[in-house]
Amino acid sequence: MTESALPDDPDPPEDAELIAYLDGELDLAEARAVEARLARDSVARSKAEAYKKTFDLLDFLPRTEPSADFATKTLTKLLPVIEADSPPPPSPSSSDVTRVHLPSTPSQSAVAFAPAPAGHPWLGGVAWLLAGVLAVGGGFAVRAFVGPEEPTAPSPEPLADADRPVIESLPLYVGVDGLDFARRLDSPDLFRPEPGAERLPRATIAPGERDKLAATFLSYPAARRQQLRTLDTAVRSLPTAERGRLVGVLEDYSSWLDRLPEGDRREVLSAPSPGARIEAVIRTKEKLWRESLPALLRDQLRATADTTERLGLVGQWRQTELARREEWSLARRQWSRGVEPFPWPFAEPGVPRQVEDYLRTALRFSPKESLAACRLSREEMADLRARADAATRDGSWLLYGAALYRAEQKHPALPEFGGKPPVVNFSALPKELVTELQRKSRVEIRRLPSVGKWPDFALDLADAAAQARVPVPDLGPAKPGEFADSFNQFLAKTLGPALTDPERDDLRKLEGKWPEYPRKAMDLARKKDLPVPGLTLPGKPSLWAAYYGVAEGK
Amino acid sequence: MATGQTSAMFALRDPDIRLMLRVRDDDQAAFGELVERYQHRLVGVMHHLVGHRDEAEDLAQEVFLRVYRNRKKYTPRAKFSTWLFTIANNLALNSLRDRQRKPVIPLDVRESSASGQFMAGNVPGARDAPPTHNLQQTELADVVRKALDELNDRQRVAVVLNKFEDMGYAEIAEVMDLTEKAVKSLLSRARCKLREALQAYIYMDGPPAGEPDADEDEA
Repeated sequence: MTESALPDDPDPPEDAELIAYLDGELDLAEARAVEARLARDSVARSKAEAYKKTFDLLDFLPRTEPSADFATKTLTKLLPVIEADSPPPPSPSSSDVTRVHLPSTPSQSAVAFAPAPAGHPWLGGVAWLLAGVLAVGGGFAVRAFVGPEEPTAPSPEPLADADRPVIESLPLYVGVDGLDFARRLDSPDLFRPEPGAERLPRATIAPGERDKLAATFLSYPAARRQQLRTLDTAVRSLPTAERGRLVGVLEDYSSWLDRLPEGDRREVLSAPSPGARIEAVIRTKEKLWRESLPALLRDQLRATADTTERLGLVGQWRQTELARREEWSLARRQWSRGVEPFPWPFAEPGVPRQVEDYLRTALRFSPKESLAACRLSREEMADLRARADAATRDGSWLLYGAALYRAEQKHPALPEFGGKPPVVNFSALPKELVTELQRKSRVEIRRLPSVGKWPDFALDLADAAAQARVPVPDLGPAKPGEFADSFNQFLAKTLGPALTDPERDDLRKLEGKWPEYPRKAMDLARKKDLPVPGLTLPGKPSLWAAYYGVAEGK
Repeated sequence: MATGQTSAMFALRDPDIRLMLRVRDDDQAAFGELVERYQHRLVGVMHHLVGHRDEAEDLAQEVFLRVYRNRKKYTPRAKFSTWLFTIANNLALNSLRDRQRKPVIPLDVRESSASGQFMAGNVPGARDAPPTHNLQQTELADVVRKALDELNDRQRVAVVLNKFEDMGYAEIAEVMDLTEKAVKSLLSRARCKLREALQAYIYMDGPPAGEPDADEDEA
């Protein structure tokens, strides 16, 4: 007997209507009746308040996240189910007995193939590819273990002409799920090439290898083949500069994979989904980085028992390494340009004042601003101050410029309302709205760390409201005329005339939408290489990127 | 309405249904995506229900395995999450029932109360003297955890789905195979119990109703 067959509770609690009202579950007439009761009955009001608040207390329960290997463990448990579901092979042969599921070492199965040409380590990925390791069909771990891959036994299906371009790039797509995944690899912490790093010319694939690649491609499940076609088409349709950059990223990823110890490579390639694979890549890189630390530091890490302290040490060493990398990169760039005592834009008149304006308006970093309003963390403030001091003292303007640029990238600004203060706390919002948000939102909006900061608070609030499906009024200006004068003028006199008709239409369509409209305007300004007074650093954005975009590497 | 039409109708609305239909067609990549997409919600809900992290993960895994085993029987009727949590509800209730039959000695004191062994008097000051109002957040979490454990299993499921999955009464009714009226009754009883257990703690973050809310507009 199911529970629905049980009679309904014959004696529903007296407050059932009140609670259903709080849950928004009553129809209009019922809701009116409860509201009338609340209006005349102070006890009911107290109860309603107590019900709501006790329900809110459940927010104090910790939110449990699955362990890092939850998905992998789940899919591994699934293996027997899948194997049991799979039909038996149509014609068993001796090759089934010796079939390579996952080679224990690269050399065992890759020995038959030509080594990667010197200077092109990514081509070494071909060997692995042919060894059938890359059986991450559709990004699913099980494929790597039970896939039908026997690369030297080509499928009877001929290779379609349309698939030939995919074959050429197949070694680059080892362990790549799609364009989004490839773009996630393009990060300074992963495989983004160092700016200015020289690349070796692309290797060509020998005809014999091409046949093997074709056989491998045909041995994949249809879903993986389709995934590769889609990826290849997407990569080829990228603008030339972006394509070249992404291919560089994929080459580095492929050769990194090829050099990994087998266990690590297996972990990356058998991840169950693109997200899990990226996590595996990050985890492996982190592990290898720790292993590459000098022995002294490794010993220090081993001797530190406290986890928090260990994390602190690792963070500190990471920062040091990043700072060194940045300084080295800047030094290399300065070297290639010749010595400039005042690199752009610091030699230009008026720049110090404009930088001050920017710090005050966009970042609220000024002696006159409260700490609560400043958008920089304490560490960022200290770093910026130290860099500014060092620039005046030792002439290290490049490092100061890089710190400014980094702050601008991390804390993009949005224009404020004209004639009224920005929304930086709850006092600007109707009380009922705050209450409703508090009730429905999954985040504790009262504890938003961005309180006091523009536009961070308003953006966080808009996110929380969207998630809780609570409509909120515009939290910032969203059409011409609503902004502060300087931005209104920028829109009318500088940005507007620079836009094409379609760009202007795109912008106009967003009028009345916050933060979409001002964000689009800021994006277009960047696209047109226009500085926005007070909201971006003075001078052309492209020049800032060229001089100081170390982390961006563009 | 023919199943095919229904599928098409819901598939257009709910990307998770599209995903599940791919799983039904043996697309294992889609299953991996489904696990990735739902693991956080499922483990979180299971932990709220059973109180033990490891057990919550085991149950969540079992839910996913059942989804896969039953994929061929899947017909899109309502939201995919409703179907998923129906399986989760059955598993969680079975697990809690088994546990009551075979009580286990908990290893971790903080997680112990979810087994239903909680004694109401263990909540510090819940019924007697008012608690000190400077409880740390973790202590408060313990108090709330214990109050949740005081509910019976079905009440706890209804409250957790309502609170953390934002499910309305109709959806909870579908998941728990109850009528909406029964859900309304179940939830109101649960909320009454929670109010009784937590009454003493509710004004720690502000004054009671009727008094001016001093920090309401402060930021």
